[in-house]
Amino acid sequence: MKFVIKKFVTMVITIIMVTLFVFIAFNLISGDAAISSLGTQATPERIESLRNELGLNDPVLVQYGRWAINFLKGDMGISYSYRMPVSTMIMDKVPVTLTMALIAFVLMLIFSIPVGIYTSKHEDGWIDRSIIIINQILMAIPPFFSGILITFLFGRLLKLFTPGGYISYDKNIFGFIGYMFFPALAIALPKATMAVKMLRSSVLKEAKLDYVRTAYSKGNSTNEVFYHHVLKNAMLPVITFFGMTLTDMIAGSIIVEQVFSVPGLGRILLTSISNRDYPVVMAIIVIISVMVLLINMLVDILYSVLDPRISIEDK
Amino acid sequence: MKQKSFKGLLKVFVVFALTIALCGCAGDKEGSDSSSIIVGIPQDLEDSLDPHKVAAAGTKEVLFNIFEGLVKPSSNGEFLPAVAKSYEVSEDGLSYTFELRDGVKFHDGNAVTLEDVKYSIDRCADDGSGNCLVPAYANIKDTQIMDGGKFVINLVEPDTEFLAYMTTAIIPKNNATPDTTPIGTGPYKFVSRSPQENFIIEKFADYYDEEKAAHINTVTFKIIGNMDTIAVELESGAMDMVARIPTAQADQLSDKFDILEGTMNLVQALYINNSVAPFDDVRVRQALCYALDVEEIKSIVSDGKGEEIGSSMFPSFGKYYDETLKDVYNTNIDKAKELLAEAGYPDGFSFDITVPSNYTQHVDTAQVLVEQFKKINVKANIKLIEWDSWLSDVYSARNYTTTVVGVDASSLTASALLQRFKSDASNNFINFSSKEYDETFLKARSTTDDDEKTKLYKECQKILTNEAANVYIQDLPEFVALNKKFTGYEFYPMYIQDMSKIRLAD
Repeated sequence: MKFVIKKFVTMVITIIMVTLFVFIAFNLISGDAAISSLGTQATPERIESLRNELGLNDPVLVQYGRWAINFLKGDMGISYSYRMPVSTMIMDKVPVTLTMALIAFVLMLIFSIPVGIYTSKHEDGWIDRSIIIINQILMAIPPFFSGILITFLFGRLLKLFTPGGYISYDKNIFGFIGYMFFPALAIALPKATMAVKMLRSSVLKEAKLDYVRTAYSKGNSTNEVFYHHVLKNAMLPVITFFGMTLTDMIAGSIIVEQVFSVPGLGRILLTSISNRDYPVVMAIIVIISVMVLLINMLVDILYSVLDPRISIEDK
Repeated sequence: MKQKSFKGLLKVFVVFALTIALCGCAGDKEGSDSSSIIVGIPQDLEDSLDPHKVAAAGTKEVLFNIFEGLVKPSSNGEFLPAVAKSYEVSEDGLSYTFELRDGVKFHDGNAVTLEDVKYSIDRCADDGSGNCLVPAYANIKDTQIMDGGKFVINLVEPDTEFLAYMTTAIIPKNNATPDTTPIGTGPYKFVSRSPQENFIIEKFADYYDEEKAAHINTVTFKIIGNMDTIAVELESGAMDMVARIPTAQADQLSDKFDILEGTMNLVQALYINNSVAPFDDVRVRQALCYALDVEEIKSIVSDGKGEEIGSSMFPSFGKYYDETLKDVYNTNIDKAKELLAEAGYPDGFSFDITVPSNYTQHVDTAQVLVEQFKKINVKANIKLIEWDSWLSDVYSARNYTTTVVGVDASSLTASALLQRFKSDASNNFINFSSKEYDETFLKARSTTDDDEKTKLYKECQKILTNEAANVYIQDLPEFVALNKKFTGYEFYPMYIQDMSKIRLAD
């Protein structure tokens, strides 16, 4: 219980820091929402009156305080550019980004765990070696580039999906998942290869430890040693990695959304930054930060479940 | 045992992947419904949907389908009666009388009343906090509702171009949320919007003029996420039409599509901050004009298409456009060097060209300019800048040396393009200052005789050219890709996508 409270407090502090930094950064870069939304029709008088209407003339900390209080009350504010409530704007988009990250995560697990186990059990075989080489190449490809390759291969050559032909989830849930499979694949590939490498080296390291010899001497078969002892211990660092990856997938989906024209949180975030539309930017950043922090907490808890030696109360 | 579990997982993976991929294939057939069209637009409507407050050209061109003014522009630049049945201008150019058309309904089903008309016009003259939303409306003395369904606008000073501003949208007085619920009288009505995804409009069944009513039932404006896959999306049926398609994408299209060619209706130029040294010397500005080779720019930037221009006016403006001005400065490197030497820069100088990075064609143009200026020993450095920083630093704060952009006309009047070069104009971002220009412009605006007025506006353009206010380049070409299932697209002399003209091909 103490652990949960402690975690919660750090979480709140982190979010305050993150939002405050974003807020201050916004005030340092040139351009503001008033100039942005008036465009070339801006006259000094109209800019001034819009700035007053939006409260942009107040000191930064006053603006931040006002935003924070409203946010806590559940009011995310009104988008400066779209003039619609931020909540209706982004709540539709959360499932899009989340689904993409989840599919990517599942794909990563499905790919990396069997391949990782296979390569580590057949160390130095020719299959292991060729997998390692392919793995190394795939790892070097950033998601946006694998996105372009996937678009070309599956979209243009094999015609398995229509590049840019995003289908909304409230229209056709299967079509939606079908389309999201490909951007998710682009995100999952480099992460999966990293996970394979990690799992392999972690298993090989564990296999050299003394307890493995003990386990063998107790009469266990190779598979029993592997699945009951080695793998269990080897999974620990990999789980940390999976946790980090999931957060990375949520926060890092922005670029892949752009490549596949997926109207998720990332695209809204990008345009809102260039429009200096900070109520939207802040809301998205809070959502992403909360997700990241929650996942980290989950990983910590998972740790103690998997390895009784680690107790979260001690930390 | 170990082999088995691995194979098992592999099977699960393959089945999972195939199921999902097949789901994707099933969803592709959308959009082939003949009574609907999907139009790709490069930017979202990141704006208020209140027609009086919208600023972005990209929003206006879409809202054109939803809203109408007392009059509306036609594709050949005339003004057709819309919410008004007819209009009269008094001989002194001081009073405009409009007669309301019978049976015009708003999209919510209510009839348009003269109160709504008065409300709309008055709101643009003063939005309630002292702002005049249409600058020309500062000239309105009063507006009156008369008997017999007539509406009168009285002006302080005569203005024979005032009709062009009567395209101001007529909106219902009682709409509490005009920012998000657009209600107008146009051939299409608003259905829904999803940020960064789409904007959907639907045929308005009660439109007053059956002949001009829309043909296609549903129009979905889809925001293009990736400019590099436009051709693929068009071919696959995910989109039917894209306006302003980049030439590289248009070249990839099959014969399922018509590529229509028009112009963008803007003045693309190297805009020069006239008050910054060395550009405060007219000879330096002229030297740059002589160094310019428009043909080269056109061939590199836009496949040789586009209209060369010589002043702040483009050909769609018809009688106001003076085509002789584009030949005032023909490429002449020697002459340019001579002028530079006279101005005291025999060895040239260096300066910055600030370009908004989101406009590829302006960035490309700037790159060609850099090479062309090298020939007269002038070194130009390109500084890429985000559009919002451009608006605040270059356009509002005028903190720049030169910039390449395209300037469009906010209304179909010569003054919309020429007014900004008046030395005290609030949008005179090039700090142009010429007494002769100010006088000629004011005279042109107040003249009621049309021929005289046209002559004076041409005179204004000539001053801009002779003073080399900017290095004028071209009116960029615009390409529209339209699936051959549809026909009827019309180019307007302004930023407008009129979907009501589009119909199914036979």
